Amino acid sequence: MSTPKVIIISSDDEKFPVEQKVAEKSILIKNMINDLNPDGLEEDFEIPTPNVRSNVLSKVLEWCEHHKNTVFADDEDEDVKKSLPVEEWDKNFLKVDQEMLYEIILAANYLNIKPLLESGCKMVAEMIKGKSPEELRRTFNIVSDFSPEEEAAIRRENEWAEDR
Amino acid sequence: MSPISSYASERVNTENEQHIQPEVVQDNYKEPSNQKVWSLLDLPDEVLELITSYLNQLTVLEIGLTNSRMNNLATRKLYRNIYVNNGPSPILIARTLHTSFYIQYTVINNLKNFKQICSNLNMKHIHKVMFYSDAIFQDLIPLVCLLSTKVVLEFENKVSYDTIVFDHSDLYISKVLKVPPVSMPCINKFTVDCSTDVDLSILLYLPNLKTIEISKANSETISRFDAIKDISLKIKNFSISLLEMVDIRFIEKFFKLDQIIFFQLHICEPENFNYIFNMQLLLVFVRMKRLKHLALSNFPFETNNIISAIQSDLQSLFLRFNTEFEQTPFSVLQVIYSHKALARICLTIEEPVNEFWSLQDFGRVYKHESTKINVDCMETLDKFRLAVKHGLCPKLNQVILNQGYYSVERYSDGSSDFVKY
Repeated sequence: MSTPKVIIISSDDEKFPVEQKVAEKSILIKNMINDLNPDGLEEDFEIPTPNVRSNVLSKVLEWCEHHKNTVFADDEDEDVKKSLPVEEWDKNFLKVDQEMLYEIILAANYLNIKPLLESGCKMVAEMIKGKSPEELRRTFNIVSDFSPEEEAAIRRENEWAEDR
Repeated sequence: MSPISSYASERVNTENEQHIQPEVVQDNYKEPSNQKVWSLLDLPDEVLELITSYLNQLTVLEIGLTNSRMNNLATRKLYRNIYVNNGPSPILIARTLHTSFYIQYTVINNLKNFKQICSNLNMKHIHKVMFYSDAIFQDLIPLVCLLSTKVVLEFENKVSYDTIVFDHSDLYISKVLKVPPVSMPCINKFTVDCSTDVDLSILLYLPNLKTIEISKANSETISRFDAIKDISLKIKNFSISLLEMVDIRFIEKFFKLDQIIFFQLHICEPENFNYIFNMQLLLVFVRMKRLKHLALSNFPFETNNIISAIQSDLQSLFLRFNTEFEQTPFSVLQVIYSHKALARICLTIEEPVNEFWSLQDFGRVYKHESTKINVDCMETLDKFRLAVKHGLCPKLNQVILNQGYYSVERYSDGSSDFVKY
Protein backbone atom coordinates (compact mmCIF):
# COMPACT_ATOMS: atom_id res chain seq x y z
CA MET A 1 0.00 0.00 0.00
CA SER A 2 1.29 3.46 -0.78
CA THR A 3 1.83 6.01 1.97
CA PRO A 4 -1.41 7.71 2.94
CA LYS A 5 -1.88 11.21 1.58
CA VAL A 6 -3.50 14.25 3.03
CA ILE A 7 -6.21 15.53 0.73
CA ILE A 8 -6.94 19.19 1.18
CA ILE A 9 -10.23 20.37 -0.29
CA SER A 10 -10.64 23.97 -1.39
CA SER A 11 -13.80 26.06 -0.98
CA ASP A 12 -14.72 25.24 -4.59
CA ASP A 13 -14.37 21.51 -3.92
CA GLU A 14 -11.12 20.89 -5.70
CA LYS A 15 -9.05 18.15 -4.11
CA PHE A 16 -5.32 18.53 -3.55
CA PRO A 17 -3.60 15.31 -2.49
CA VAL A 18 -0.23 16.07 -0.87
CA GLU A 19 2.38 14.31 1.22
CA GLN A 20 1.72 14.51 4.94
CA LYS A 21 5.00 16.34 5.42
CA VAL A 22 3.92 19.05 3.00
CA ALA A 23 0.47 19.44 4.55
CA GLU A 24 1.97 19.67 8.02
CA LYS A 25 3.64 22.97 7.20
CA SER A 26 0.21 24.14 8.28
CA ILE A 27 0.09 23.88 12.04
CA LEU A 28 -3.70 23.81 11.87
CA ILE A 29 -3.61 20.74 9.63
CA LYS A 30 -0.78 19.18 11.61
CA ASN A 31 -2.73 19.45 14.85
CA MET A 32 -5.85 18.16 13.16
CA ILE A 33 -4.01 15.11 11.84
CA ASN A 34 -2.39 14.42 15.20
CA ASP A 35 -5.58 14.90 17.18
CA LEU A 36 -7.65 12.63 14.98
CA ASN A 37 -4.97 10.04 14.22
CA PRO A 38 -2.85 9.73 17.34
CA ASP A 39 -1.28 6.53 16.01
CA GLY A 40 -0.32 7.97 12.63
CA LEU A 41 -2.15 8.08 9.32
CA GLU A 42 -3.38 4.74 8.10
CA GLU A 43 -5.42 5.91 5.15
CA ASP A 44 -5.88 9.06 3.11
CA PHE A 45 -7.10 11.92 5.24
CA GLU A 46 -9.41 14.61 3.87
CA ILE A 47 -9.39 18.13 5.25
CA PRO A 48 -11.78 20.78 3.94
CA THR A 49 -10.59 24.38 3.96
CA PRO A 50 -13.91 26.13 3.39
CA ASN A 51 -12.47 29.63 3.08
CA VAL A 52 -9.56 29.02 0.72
CA ARG A 53 -10.19 29.07 -3.04
CA SER A 54 -8.48 26.48 -5.22
CA ASN A 55 -6.07 28.83 -6.99
CA VAL A 56 -5.00 30.26 -3.62
CA LEU A 57 -4.71 26.82 -2.08
CA SER A 58 -2.57 25.60 -4.96
CA LYS A 59 -0.23 28.58 -4.45
CA VAL A 60 -0.03 27.93 -0.71
CA LEU A 61 0.70 24.24 -1.30
CA GLU A 62 3.35 25.16 -3.84
CA TRP A 63 5.03 27.12 -1.05
CA CYS A 64 4.67 24.21 1.38
CA GLU A 65 6.12 21.80 -1.18
CA HIS A 66 9.10 24.08 -1.80
CA HIS A 67 9.73 24.48 1.91
CA LYS A 68 8.96 20.92 2.95
CA ASN A 69 12.56 20.40 4.10
CA THR A 70 13.19 23.93 5.33
CA VAL A 71 13.72 24.15 9.04
CA PHE A 72 12.36 27.45 10.25
CA ALA A 73 14.07 28.78 13.35
CA ASP A 74 11.78 29.07 16.32
CA ASP A 75 10.84 32.41 17.75
CA GLU A 76 14.42 33.06 18.76
CA ASP A 77 15.96 36.31 17.65
CA GLU A 78 12.55 37.56 16.67
CA ASP A 79 13.82 41.14 16.55
CA VAL A 80 16.65 40.39 14.19
CA LYS A 81 14.42 38.22 12.01
CA LYS A 82 11.94 41.05 11.63
CA SER A 83 14.43 43.36 9.99
CA LEU A 84 15.70 40.77 7.52
CA PRO A 85 14.48 41.08 3.93
CA VAL A 86 12.08 38.51 2.53
CA GLU A 87 13.93 35.39 1.47
CA GLU A 88 14.64 35.43 -2.28
CA TRP A 89 12.49 32.46 -3.31
CA ASP A 90 9.55 33.68 -1.24
CA LYS A 91 9.96 37.13 -2.70
CA ASN A 92 9.65 35.87 -6.26
CA PHE A 93 6.89 33.51 -5.25
CA LEU A 94 4.91 36.38 -3.74
CA LYS A 95 5.26 38.66 -6.76
CA VAL A 96 1.57 38.33 -7.49
CA ASP A 97 -1.15 40.92 -7.66
CA GLN A 98 -2.40 42.45 -4.46
CA GLU A 99 -5.61 40.41 -4.30
CA MET A 100 -3.67 37.17 -4.56
CA LEU A 101 -1.18 38.38 -1.97
CA TYR A 102 -3.99 39.20 0.48
CA GLU A 103 -5.63 35.86 -0.13
CA ILE A 104 -2.35 34.03 0.45
CA ILE A 105 -1.86 35.98 3.68
CA LEU A 106 -5.39 35.20 4.83
CA ALA A 107 -4.93 31.52 3.99
CA ALA A 108 -1.55 31.39 5.78
CA ASN A 109 -3.14 33.06 8.79
CA TYR A 110 -6.08 30.64 8.80
CA LEU A 111 -3.96 27.55 8.18
CA ASN A 112 -1.35 28.77 10.67
CA ILE A 113 1.70 28.74 8.40
CA LYS A 114 3.76 31.31 10.23
CA PRO A 115 6.77 31.67 7.89
CA LEU A 116 4.49 32.21 4.89
CA LEU A 117 2.36 34.67 6.83
CA GLU A 118 5.50 36.56 7.82
CA SER A 119 6.85 36.67 4.27
CA GLY A 120 3.48 37.89 2.99
CA CYS A 121 3.22 40.59 5.64
CA LYS A 122 6.78 41.71 4.94
CA MET A 123 5.88 42.08 1.27
CA VAL A 124 2.96 44.32 2.23
CA ALA A 125 5.20 46.26 4.63
CA GLU A 126 7.65 46.81 1.76
CA MET A 127 4.84 48.28 -0.31
CA ILE A 128 3.85 50.61 2.54
CA LYS A 129 7.32 52.06 3.07
CA GLY A 130 8.03 55.51 1.69
CA LYS A 131 4.44 56.45 0.77
CA SER A 132 2.38 59.39 1.95
CA PRO A 133 -1.04 58.75 3.51
CA GLU A 134 -2.69 59.66 0.22
CA GLU A 135 -0.49 57.34 -1.81
CA LEU A 136 -1.18 54.63 0.74
CA ARG A 137 -4.95 55.07 0.40
CA ARG A 138 -4.66 54.78 -3.36
CA THR A 139 -2.34 51.79 -3.31
CA PHE A 140 -4.31 49.82 -0.79
CA ASN A 141 -7.86 50.99 -1.49
CA ILE A 142 -8.25 52.44 1.95
CA VAL A 143 -11.24 54.71 2.35
CA SER A 144 -10.56 57.51 4.77
CA ASP A 145 -13.19 58.00 7.45
CA PHE A 146 -11.54 61.13 8.84
CA SER A 147 -12.68 64.70 8.49
CA PRO A 148 -9.83 67.15 7.83
CA GLU A 149 -10.22 68.29 11.45
CA GLU A 150 -9.89 64.77 12.76
CA GLU A 151 -6.85 64.18 10.62
CA ALA A 152 -5.25 67.34 11.96
CA ALA A 153 -6.05 66.24 15.52
CA ILE A 154 -4.34 62.91 14.95
CA ARG A 155 -1.28 64.64 13.56
CA ARG A 156 -1.15 66.78 16.70
CA GLU A 157 -1.63 63.79 19.00
CA ASN A 158 1.22 61.95 17.37
CA GLU A 159 3.69 64.80 17.37
CA TRP A 160 5.64 63.15 20.18
CA ALA A 161 6.57 60.30 17.88
CA GLU A 162 7.44 62.52 14.95
CA ASP A 163 10.13 64.35 16.82
CA ARG A 164 13.36 64.08 14.83
CA MET B 1 -17.67 63.97 2.68
CA SER B 2 -14.15 65.29 3.00
CA PRO B 3 -12.16 65.92 -0.17
CA ILE B 4 -9.80 63.11 0.69
CA SER B 5 -12.40 60.47 1.34
CA SER B 6 -14.35 61.31 -1.81
CA TYR B 7 -11.13 61.04 -3.72
CA ALA B 8 -10.42 57.69 -2.15
CA SER B 9 -13.81 56.26 -2.99
CA GLU B 10 -13.47 57.50 -6.54
CA ARG B 11 -10.19 55.64 -6.70
CA VAL B 12 -11.91 52.45 -5.67
CA ASN B 13 -14.10 52.64 -8.76
CA THR B 14 -11.32 53.44 -11.17
CA GLU B 15 -8.95 50.87 -9.72
CA ASN B 16 -6.92 48.84 -12.21
CA GLU B 17 -6.76 51.52 -14.91
CA GLN B 18 -3.22 52.13 -13.84
CA HIS B 19 -1.92 49.61 -11.38
CA ILE B 20 0.12 51.07 -8.59
CA GLN B 21 1.69 47.83 -7.47
CA PRO B 22 5.00 47.78 -9.35
CA GLU B 23 5.71 44.08 -9.01
CA VAL B 24 2.84 42.47 -10.83
CA VAL B 25 3.46 39.16 -12.42
CA GLN B 26 0.96 37.58 -14.74
CA ASP B 27 0.50 34.31 -13.00
CA ASN B 28 -1.96 31.69 -14.11
CA TYR B 29 -4.19 33.37 -11.65
CA LYS B 30 -7.78 33.83 -12.81
CA GLU B 31 -9.92 36.64 -11.53
CA PRO B 32 -12.71 35.45 -9.30
CA SER B 33 -16.10 35.74 -10.94
CA ASN B 34 -17.46 38.29 -8.47
CA GLN B 35 -14.95 41.07 -9.12
CA LYS B 36 -14.27 41.97 -5.49
CA VAL B 37 -12.11 45.01 -5.01
CA TRP B 38 -9.68 44.19 -2.26
CA SER B 39 -8.48 46.65 0.30
CA LEU B 40 -5.75 46.36 2.90
CA LEU B 41 -8.56 46.67 5.41
CA ASP B 42 -9.87 43.27 4.37
CA LEU B 43 -7.07 41.79 6.45
CA PRO B 44 -7.86 41.09 10.11
CA ASP B 45 -6.32 43.19 12.89
CA GLU B 46 -3.85 40.50 13.93
CA VAL B 47 -2.40 40.44 10.41
CA LEU B 48 -2.31 44.23 10.12
CA GLU B 49 -0.60 44.29 13.48
CA LEU B 50 2.07 41.94 12.16
CA ILE B 51 2.50 44.18 9.11
CA THR B 52 2.99 47.29 11.26
CA SER B 53 5.61 45.42 13.29
CA TYR B 54 7.93 45.63 10.24
CA LEU B 55 7.69 49.42 10.01
CA ASN B 56 9.56 52.24 11.69
CA GLN B 57 7.76 54.99 13.56
CA LEU B 58 7.63 57.46 10.66
CA THR B 59 6.09 54.91 8.33
CA VAL B 60 3.65 53.87 11.05
CA LEU B 61 2.60 57.50 11.44
CA GLU B 62 1.80 57.69 7.72
CA ILE B 63 -0.26 54.53 7.64
CA GLY B 64 -2.07 55.66 10.79
CA LEU B 65 -3.33 58.75 8.99
CA THR B 66 -5.15 56.76 6.31
CA ASN B 67 -8.13 55.54 8.30
CA SER B 68 -9.40 55.22 11.88
CA ARG B 69 -8.87 51.47 12.08
CA MET B 70 -5.31 51.86 10.83
CA ASN B 71 -4.87 54.70 13.30
CA ASN B 72 -5.78 52.45 16.24
CA LEU B 73 -3.29 49.85 15.10
CA ALA B 74 -0.62 52.48 14.52
CA THR B 75 -1.14 53.93 18.00
CA ARG B 76 -0.75 50.52 19.60
CA LYS B 77 2.48 49.96 17.70
CA LEU B 78 3.91 53.42 18.48
CA TYR B 79 3.36 53.03 22.20
CA ARG B 80 4.48 49.43 22.54
CA ASN B 81 8.26 49.85 22.85
CA ILE B 82 9.68 53.27 23.50
CA TYR B 83 13.26 54.41 23.51
CA VAL B 84 13.78 57.62 25.45
CA ASN B 85 16.97 59.14 24.23
CA ASN B 86 18.03 61.20 27.21
CA GLY B 87 21.61 61.20 26.00
CA PRO B 88 23.65 64.12 24.73
CA SER B 89 22.80 63.99 21.04
CA PRO B 90 19.42 63.46 19.38
CA ILE B 91 18.83 60.44 17.15
CA LEU B 92 17.78 61.31 13.65
CA ILE B 93 15.41 58.77 12.21
CA ALA B 94 15.58 58.32 8.49
CA ARG B 95 12.28 57.58 6.81
CA THR B 96 13.85 54.71 4.93
CA LEU B 97 15.67 53.15 7.85
CA HIS B 98 13.99 49.90 8.85
CA THR B 99 16.65 48.13 10.89
CA SER B 100 15.64 45.99 13.83
CA PHE B 101 16.10 48.79 16.36
CA TYR B 102 14.01 51.31 14.45
CA ILE B 103 11.18 48.90 13.75
CA GLN B 104 11.11 47.79 17.35
CA TYR B 105 11.30 51.11 19.17
CA THR B 106 9.62 54.45 18.87
CA VAL B 107 12.39 56.91 19.57
CA ILE B 108 11.65 59.97 21.70
CA ASN B 109 14.41 62.52 21.79
CA ASN B 110 13.39 64.28 24.93
CA LEU B 111 12.17 63.31 28.33
CA LYS B 112 9.47 65.98 28.33
CA ASN B 113 7.65 64.22 25.52
CA PHE B 114 7.86 60.94 27.38
CA LYS B 115 6.40 62.46 30.54
CA GLN B 116 3.61 63.89 28.44
CA ILE B 117 2.57 60.55 26.96
CA CYS B 118 2.74 58.90 30.36
CA SER B 119 -0.34 60.86 31.28
CA ASN B 120 -2.55 59.93 28.35
CA LEU B 121 -4.85 56.98 27.94
CA ASN B 122 -2.70 55.23 25.36
CA MET B 123 -0.03 54.59 27.94
CA LYS B 124 -1.77 51.31 28.66
CA HIS B 125 -0.22 50.05 25.42
CA ILE B 126 3.31 50.62 26.72
CA HIS B 127 5.17 47.39 27.09
CA LYS B 128 8.77 48.40 27.36
CA VAL B 129 10.67 51.62 27.78
CA MET B 130 14.37 51.87 27.20
CA PHE B 131 16.45 54.84 28.30
CA TYR B 132 19.81 55.91 27.10
CA SER B 133 21.06 56.60 30.59
CA ASP B 134 20.03 55.74 34.12
CA ALA B 135 21.01 59.20 35.39
CA ILE B 136 17.33 59.93 35.90
CA PHE B 137 16.37 56.60 37.45
CA GLN B 138 15.23 58.20 40.66
CA ASP B 139 12.87 60.59 38.87
CA LEU B 140 11.40 57.77 36.88
CA ILE B 141 10.25 55.50 39.64
CA PRO B 142 7.06 57.42 40.48
CA LEU B 143 6.37 57.73 36.77
CA VAL B 144 6.81 54.06 36.12
CA CYS B 145 4.64 53.12 39.06
CA LEU B 146 1.86 54.97 37.26
CA LEU B 147 2.05 52.68 34.30
CA SER B 148 -0.70 50.21 34.86
CA THR B 149 0.57 47.03 33.26
CA LYS B 150 3.87 45.26 33.22
CA VAL B 151 6.43 47.62 31.86
CA VAL B 152 10.04 46.80 31.27
CA LEU B 153 12.51 49.63 31.70
CA GLU B 154 15.98 49.32 30.34
CA PHE B 155 18.92 51.66 30.59
CA GLU B 156 21.55 51.48 27.97
CA ASN B 157 24.57 53.35 29.21
CA LYS B 158 27.02 54.23 26.55
CA VAL B 159 30.07 52.46 27.89
CA SER B 160 28.94 49.27 29.52
CA TYR B 161 25.43 48.49 28.30
CA ASP B 162 24.29 48.08 31.86
CA THR B 163 20.81 46.80 32.10
CA ILE B 164 18.14 47.17 34.66
CA VAL B 165 14.93 45.59 33.63
CA PHE B 166 12.24 47.05 35.73
CA ASP B 167 9.25 44.92 35.01
CA HIS B 168 6.90 47.08 37.03
CA SER B 169 6.78 44.65 39.89
CA ASP B 170 9.70 42.51 38.76
CA LEU B 171 13.28 43.61 38.82
CA TYR B 172 15.87 41.80 36.82
CA ILE B 173 19.42 43.01 37.14
CA SER B 174 22.55 41.98 35.40
CA LYS B 175 25.87 43.72 35.14
CA VAL B 176 24.81 46.74 37.11
CA LEU B 177 27.61 47.92 39.31
CA LYS B 178 25.93 50.66 41.23
CA VAL B 179 22.25 50.83 41.99
CA PRO B 180 20.82 54.17 43.11
CA PRO B 181 19.95 54.06 46.81
CA VAL B 182 16.26 54.69 46.52
CA SER B 183 13.46 52.67 48.00
CA MET B 184 11.39 50.75 45.44
CA PRO B 185 8.27 49.57 47.21
CA CYS B 186 6.58 48.51 43.99
CA ILE B 187 9.04 45.73 43.28
CA ASN B 188 8.01 42.30 44.48
CA LYS B 189 10.24 40.06 42.44
CA PHE B 190 13.98 40.27 42.06
CA THR B 191 16.02 38.11 39.71
CA VAL B 192 19.74 38.25 39.89
CA ASP B 193 22.45 36.61 37.86
CA CYS B 194 25.35 36.18 40.28
CA SER B 195 27.95 35.52 37.61
CA THR B 196 27.98 39.29 37.04
CA ASP B 197 29.12 42.00 39.42
CA VAL B 198 25.75 42.86 40.78
CA ASP B 199 25.59 45.06 43.82
CA LEU B 200 23.38 43.05 46.15
CA SER B 201 22.85 45.99 48.46
CA ILE B 202 19.85 46.75 46.27
CA LEU B 203 18.04 44.29 48.53
CA LEU B 204 18.05 47.00 51.16
CA TYR B 205 15.80 49.10 48.95
CA LEU B 206 13.16 46.51 48.15
CA PRO B 207 10.88 46.61 51.18
CA ASN B 208 8.06 44.60 49.63
CA LEU B 209 10.03 41.86 47.98
CA LYS B 210 8.16 38.54 47.85
CA THR B 211 10.15 36.51 45.35
CA ILE B 212 13.84 36.16 44.79
CA GLU B 213 15.56 34.12 42.09
CA ILE B 214 19.30 33.81 42.53
CA SER B 215 21.04 32.12 39.67
CA LYS B 216 24.61 30.85 39.35
CA ALA B 217 25.48 31.39 42.99
CA ASN B 218 28.89 30.38 44.36
CA SER B 219 30.96 31.11 47.45
CA GLU B 220 31.64 34.61 46.16
CA THR B 221 27.94 35.31 46.14
CA ILE B 222 27.80 34.46 49.81
CA SER B 223 30.61 36.84 50.64
CA ARG B 224 28.72 39.50 48.73
CA PHE B 225 25.68 38.80 50.84
CA ASP B 226 27.88 39.08 53.91
CA ALA B 227 28.98 42.52 52.78
CA ILE B 228 25.45 43.88 53.04
CA LYS B 229 24.42 45.20 56.38
CA ASP B 230 21.92 43.26 58.44
CA ILE B 231 18.89 42.29 56.54
CA SER B 232 16.28 39.72 57.26
CA LEU B 233 13.96 39.55 54.33
CA LYS B 234 10.51 38.09 54.46
CA ILE B 235 10.53 36.22 51.19
CA LYS B 236 7.74 33.89 50.18
CA ASN B 237 9.29 32.38 47.09
CA PHE B 238 12.94 31.50 47.09
CA SER B 239 14.85 30.02 44.14
CA ILE B 240 18.53 29.43 43.90
CA SER B 241 20.84 27.68 41.49
CA LEU B 242 24.26 26.72 42.74
CA LEU B 243 27.41 26.54 40.67
CA GLU B 244 29.42 24.99 43.48
CA MET B 245 28.97 23.54 46.92
CA VAL B 246 28.39 26.27 49.48
CA ASP B 247 27.14 26.24 53.03
CA ILE B 248 23.48 26.59 52.18
CA ARG B 249 22.72 27.69 55.75
CA PHE B 250 23.75 31.20 54.69
CA ILE B 251 20.19 31.83 53.56
CA GLU B 252 19.06 31.63 57.15
CA LYS B 253 21.07 34.77 57.90
CA PHE B 254 19.34 36.90 55.29
CA PHE B 255 15.89 35.42 54.88
CA LYS B 256 13.27 34.48 57.39
CA LEU B 257 13.01 30.76 56.77
CA ASP B 258 9.65 30.38 58.41
CA GLN B 259 8.14 32.75 55.82
CA ILE B 260 9.18 30.72 52.81
CA ILE B 261 6.33 28.95 51.06
CA PHE B 262 8.05 27.98 47.82
CA PHE B 263 11.60 26.73 47.70
CA GLN B 264 13.53 25.73 44.64
CA LEU B 265 17.05 24.43 44.40
CA HIS B 266 18.92 23.66 41.21
CA ILE B 267 22.37 22.15 41.30
CA CYS B 268 24.55 22.85 38.29
CA GLU B 269 27.26 20.24 38.73
CA PRO B 270 25.91 17.55 41.05
CA GLU B 271 29.08 15.45 40.98
CA ASN B 272 30.88 18.17 42.96
CA PHE B 273 28.47 18.03 45.90
CA ASN B 274 28.97 15.78 48.89
CA TYR B 275 26.91 14.62 51.86
CA ILE B 276 27.94 17.64 53.96
CA PHE B 277 25.77 19.73 51.70
CA ASN B 278 22.95 17.29 52.21
CA MET B 279 23.22 17.64 56.00
CA GLN B 280 23.31 21.42 55.86
CA LEU B 281 20.28 21.49 53.60
CA LEU B 282 18.40 19.22 56.00
CA LEU B 283 18.98 21.75 58.78
CA VAL B 284 17.57 24.48 56.59
CA PHE B 285 14.50 22.46 55.66
CA VAL B 286 13.71 21.65 59.26
CA ARG B 287 13.30 25.36 59.91
CA MET B 288 11.04 26.11 56.97
CA LYS B 289 7.88 25.64 58.90
CA ARG B 290 5.48 26.93 56.28
CA LEU B 291 6.92 25.37 53.15
CA LYS B 292 4.19 24.25 50.76
CA HIS B 293 5.92 23.85 47.42
CA LEU B 294 9.27 22.23 46.88
CA ALA B 295 11.26 21.89 43.67
CA LEU B 296 14.59 20.15 43.41
CA SER B 297 16.49 19.63 40.22
CA ASN B 298 19.67 17.66 39.71
CA PHE B 299 19.65 16.89 43.40
CA PRO B 300 22.35 14.23 43.83
CA PHE B 301 21.18 12.65 47.08
CA GLU B 302 18.35 10.55 48.39
CA THR B 303 15.36 12.88 48.32
CA ASN B 304 13.32 10.90 50.82
CA ASN B 305 15.31 12.14 53.83
CA ILE B 306 14.85 15.73 52.78
CA ILE B 307 11.18 15.36 52.10
CA SER B 308 10.52 13.55 55.37
CA ALA B 309 12.44 16.23 57.28
CA ILE B 310 9.98 18.89 56.19
CA GLN B 311 7.65 19.60 59.08
CA SER B 312 4.94 21.36 57.17
CA ASP B 313 2.46 19.73 54.84
CA LEU B 314 3.74 19.93 51.28
CA GLN B 315 1.15 20.62 48.60
CA SER B 316 3.29 20.26 45.54
CA LEU B 317 6.49 18.52 44.79
CA PHE B 318 8.60 18.88 41.68
CA LEU B 319 11.58 16.63 41.22
CA ARG B 320 13.70 16.71 38.13
CA PHE B 321 16.44 14.13 37.72
CA ASN B 322 19.35 14.11 35.41
CA THR B 323 19.72 10.94 33.36
CA GLU B 324 23.49 11.11 33.52
CA PHE B 325 23.66 11.23 37.23
CA GLU B 326 22.95 8.05 39.10
CA GLN B 327 19.92 8.60 41.17
CA THR B 328 18.76 6.78 44.24
CA PRO B 329 15.17 5.77 43.65
CA PHE B 330 12.43 7.91 44.96
CA SER B 331 10.13 6.25 47.42
CA VAL B 332 6.63 7.20 46.52
CA LEU B 333 4.96 5.72 49.53
CA GLN B 334 7.22 7.39 52.05
CA VAL B 335 6.47 10.77 50.57
CA ILE B 336 2.78 10.13 50.49
CA TYR B 337 2.75 9.03 54.10
CA SER B 338 4.58 12.09 55.34
CA HIS B 339 2.69 14.66 53.27
CA LYS B 340 -1.00 13.93 53.12
CA ALA B 341 -1.88 17.29 51.61
CA LEU B 342 0.10 16.70 48.40
CA ALA B 343 -2.01 17.73 45.47
CA ARG B 344 0.53 17.86 42.67
CA ILE B 345 3.54 15.76 42.01
CA CYS B 346 5.81 16.22 39.06
CA LEU B 347 8.70 13.89 38.35
CA THR B 348 10.74 14.30 35.24
CA ILE B 349 13.80 12.54 34.05
CA GLU B 350 15.64 14.52 31.44
CA GLU B 351 18.82 14.73 29.52
CA PRO B 352 21.44 16.61 31.56
CA VAL B 353 19.59 19.62 32.85
CA ASN B 354 21.58 22.78 32.80
CA GLU B 355 19.17 25.60 33.10
CA PHE B 356 17.37 26.85 36.02
CA TRP B 357 13.61 26.57 36.12
CA SER B 358 12.09 29.93 36.68
CA LEU B 359 8.83 30.21 38.54
CA GLN B 360 6.92 30.56 35.29
CA ASP B 361 8.44 27.32 34.05
CA PHE B 362 6.42 25.36 36.54
CA GLY B 363 3.36 26.48 34.67
CA ARG B 364 5.01 25.39 31.47
CA VAL B 365 5.73 21.91 32.80
CA TYR B 366 2.05 21.15 32.46
CA LYS B 367 1.97 22.12 28.85
CA HIS B 368 4.49 19.58 27.64
CA GLU B 369 2.91 17.38 25.06
CA SER B 370 5.29 14.48 24.89
CA THR B 371 3.82 11.30 26.35
CA LYS B 372 6.94 9.18 26.56
CA ILE B 373 7.22 7.33 29.81
CA ASN B 374 10.03 4.96 30.53
CA VAL B 375 9.64 1.69 32.38
CA ASP B 376 11.00 2.91 35.71
CA CYS B 377 8.46 5.63 35.67
CA MET B 378 5.67 3.25 34.75
CA GLU B 379 6.40 1.34 37.94
CA THR B 380 6.35 4.55 39.90
CA LEU B 381 3.08 5.46 38.31
CA ASP B 382 1.56 2.13 39.34
CA LYS B 383 2.61 2.82 42.90
CA PHE B 384 0.82 6.14 42.79
CA ARG B 385 -2.21 4.51 41.32
CA LEU B 386 -2.25 1.95 44.10
CA ALA B 387 -1.80 4.62 46.73
CA VAL B 388 -4.68 6.62 45.33
CA LYS B 389 -6.91 3.54 45.21
CA HIS B 390 -6.21 2.91 48.87
CA GLY B 391 -7.08 6.47 49.76
CA LEU B 392 -3.55 7.25 50.93
CA CYS B 393 -3.35 10.62 49.25
CA PRO B 394 -6.79 12.19 49.52
CA LYS B 395 -5.82 15.51 47.96
CA LEU B 396 -3.70 14.34 45.06
CA ASN B 397 -5.14 15.51 41.78
CA GLN B 398 -2.23 15.77 39.40
CA VAL B 399 0.70 13.55 38.66
CA ILE B 400 3.19 14.35 35.97
CA LEU B 401 5.72 11.70 35.14
CA ASN B 402 8.40 12.45 32.64
CA GLN B 403 6.05 14.81 30.91
CA GLY B 404 3.16 12.36 30.79
CA TYR B 405 0.26 14.11 32.38
CA TYR B 406 -2.33 12.38 34.62
CA SER B 407 -5.16 13.64 36.64
CA VAL B 408 -6.77 11.74 39.43
CA GLU B 409 -10.46 11.11 38.99
CA ARG B 410 -12.49 10.27 42.05
CA TYR B 411 -15.79 8.53 41.48
CA SER B 412 -18.94 8.66 43.55
CA ASP B 413 -18.61 5.04 44.66
CA GLY B 414 -15.39 5.97 46.43
CA SER B 415 -13.11 4.43 43.86
CA SER B 416 -10.64 6.46 41.88
CA ASP B 417 -8.29 6.13 38.98
CA PHE B 418 -5.75 7.92 36.86
CA VAL B 419 -6.84 9.52 33.66
CA LYS B 420 -4.17 10.25 31.12
CA TYR B 421 -4.27 13.51 29.22
